[in-house]
Amino acid sequence: MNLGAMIVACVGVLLAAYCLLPNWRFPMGIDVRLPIGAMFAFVGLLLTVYGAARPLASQSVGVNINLTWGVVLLVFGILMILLGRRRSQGRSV
Amino acid sequence: MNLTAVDWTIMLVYFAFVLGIGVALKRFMRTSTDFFLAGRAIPAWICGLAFISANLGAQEVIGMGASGAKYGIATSHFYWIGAIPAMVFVGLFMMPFYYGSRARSVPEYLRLRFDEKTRGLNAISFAIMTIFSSGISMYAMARLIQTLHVFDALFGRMNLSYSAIFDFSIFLSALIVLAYILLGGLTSAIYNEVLQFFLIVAGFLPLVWLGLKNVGGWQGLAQKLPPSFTHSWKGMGSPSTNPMGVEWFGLVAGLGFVLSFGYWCTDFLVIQRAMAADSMSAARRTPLIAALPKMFFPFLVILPGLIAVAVRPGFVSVGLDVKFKEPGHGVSALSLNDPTQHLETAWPGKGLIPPKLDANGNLLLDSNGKPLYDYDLAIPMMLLHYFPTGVLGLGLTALLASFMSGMAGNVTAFNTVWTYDIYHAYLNRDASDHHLLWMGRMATVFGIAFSIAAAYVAVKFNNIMDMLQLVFAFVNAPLFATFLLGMFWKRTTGHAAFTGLLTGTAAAALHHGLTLPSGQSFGIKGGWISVMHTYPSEMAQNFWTAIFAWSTCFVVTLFVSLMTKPRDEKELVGLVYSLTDKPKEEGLAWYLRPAVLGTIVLVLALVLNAVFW
Repeated sequence: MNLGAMIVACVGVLLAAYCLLPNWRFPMGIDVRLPIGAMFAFVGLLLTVYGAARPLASQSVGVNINLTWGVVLLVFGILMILLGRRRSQGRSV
Repeated sequence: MNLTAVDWTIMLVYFAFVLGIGVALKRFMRTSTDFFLAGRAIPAWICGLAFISANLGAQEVIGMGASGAKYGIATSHFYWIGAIPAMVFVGLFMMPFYYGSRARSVPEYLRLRFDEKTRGLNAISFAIMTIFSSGISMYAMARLIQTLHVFDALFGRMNLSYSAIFDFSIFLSALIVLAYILLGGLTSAIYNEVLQFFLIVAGFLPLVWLGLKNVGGWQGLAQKLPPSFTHSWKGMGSPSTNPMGVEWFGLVAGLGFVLSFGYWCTDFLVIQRAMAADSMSAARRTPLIAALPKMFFPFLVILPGLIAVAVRPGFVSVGLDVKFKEPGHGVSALSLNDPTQHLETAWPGKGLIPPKLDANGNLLLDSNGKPLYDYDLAIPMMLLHYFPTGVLGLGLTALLASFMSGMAGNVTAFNTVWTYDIYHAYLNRDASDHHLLWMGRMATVFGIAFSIAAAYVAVKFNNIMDMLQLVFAFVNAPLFATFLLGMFWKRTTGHAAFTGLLTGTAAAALHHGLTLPSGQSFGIKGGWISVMHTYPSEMAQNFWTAIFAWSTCFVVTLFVSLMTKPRDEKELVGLVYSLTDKPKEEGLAWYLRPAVLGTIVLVLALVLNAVFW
């Protein structure tokens, strides 16, 4: 495990805090879609970047699974964040 | 296992979010209701996902993968027969009493409906079992981490002894679960369970996709595997014609009815999540909402098992070192880390499933001289086979997450039952709400401590997992009969419920002591009184034990009820079907009505059964 991974993990925690902080004013707090969205967006982005930088397809039946799945997770994460945001801004879902 | 920085980062990010959620929720834990019941403020869809996620421990994920490799798609019976009908039943017919009675736990409902001694019996047996369950989850996770050499590279670099990896895994998982439950109570557990649900899907969906792509889809699987593997009802007429060794009646009555209803309708671990819902309608919909993903989980966890036996590991880059002594051939060493090694001829496993080895690296053989396979490694081997670094970290994190969600479920159920049903009921009746909240936090701490102890007991006695399965069957099967009679027959009395539970459990033990699955020696597998009957398989014995236990409890409860004085009907309003108003569902869109949802779920389950007939 190296310093790079630690830095990245810390960024992740900060991301989590950012998503969670503004919503503390809500009863029983956070719309759960926000931390979920944040985590998947982060992981999705990480996998997408890694998959693009280092294509690995021989093990995974010829598919660059990091890139493909990374994009899917990123999209999912963003969707969840948007859904969660709409709810916390008072609009009904 | 060769994990890189990307894999570790994904794992760390997950842990960071899990703890972060706990931290964020701490300030909302003001009353005991907030801590134990999430303030009864959780929307239906969140409760639903938590309901299924708490149930989905890693033993289920690993175990279902193992069963899929062993029995094929017939394993889906555990879901489509063994879960869906029960989930629909509890949502439609039992939640009105659980939620409407304002009981804060399952034992508390028993006190309201019956009497104190019934509650005590259930509370104590449940508390003990749930702690053992949590400990076994911890044990299984630590064992898996050890087998897959997850932390080996890390420990190597830090010059720490490899033997500490097991202990490290136990304490790491314990600390993380302790932290987020201590901080945020049930709400934290529920939110994390939803996160874990999505993570499990994210980790296993690509695995199934790649696996199916590799074998040529379902058609390809059907060609590569024996027909019994791809047809769930084939040969169910008699135990000798199907790999599970049980006939359809034992399956439907034992698994489909008694065991599954016994679990889904009475186990506080799942019921607690529905009790946390924000309304009666939400509580009723929770198990139904959970049933939808539950129905499709066979494709996520069972299918990899099938694929694992259909694939030849011609080219693998896994982290297992297998040494085995082939009879007459001396010692062969296979380092599965070497991708250039051709394994077609030398590999003694079944598909991707490695053989079981003893401590010296020799093949373990059964009574017929055939090698035994370590089916529990089906899913981990699949992950290692198809996932390059990157998604491998994701898959591994998903696996760890499923272990932890099971543990967290057990711990929240324990701390609630301890605080309300044991401490508040028997030890300190005048405790203030604030004190109970404190007690709940303490209970979390010693609950986890006991779980760790249970995990180490499992190290010493590895039959403990089988034992726990047995005990669950002994206790849950009769409990379901008690609930059925209690909720739907106003004449059932407290004395009857108590006696019924005791005799039901005794009947289960008796049945187990007098029967033996074929090919097993007496002891933990049964026949410890004397062998009066032999069952064709362990599963058959299991199912029939459950049937006997349930029937005994039912009959005894019925008779004793007729001989004892029932309670005043006024006291039972809201607790019994005939004395409670049917819940009204006006103002709800038609597709959100529980009855409609329930029907949709059942129809879908029937369709799935038909498709994989």
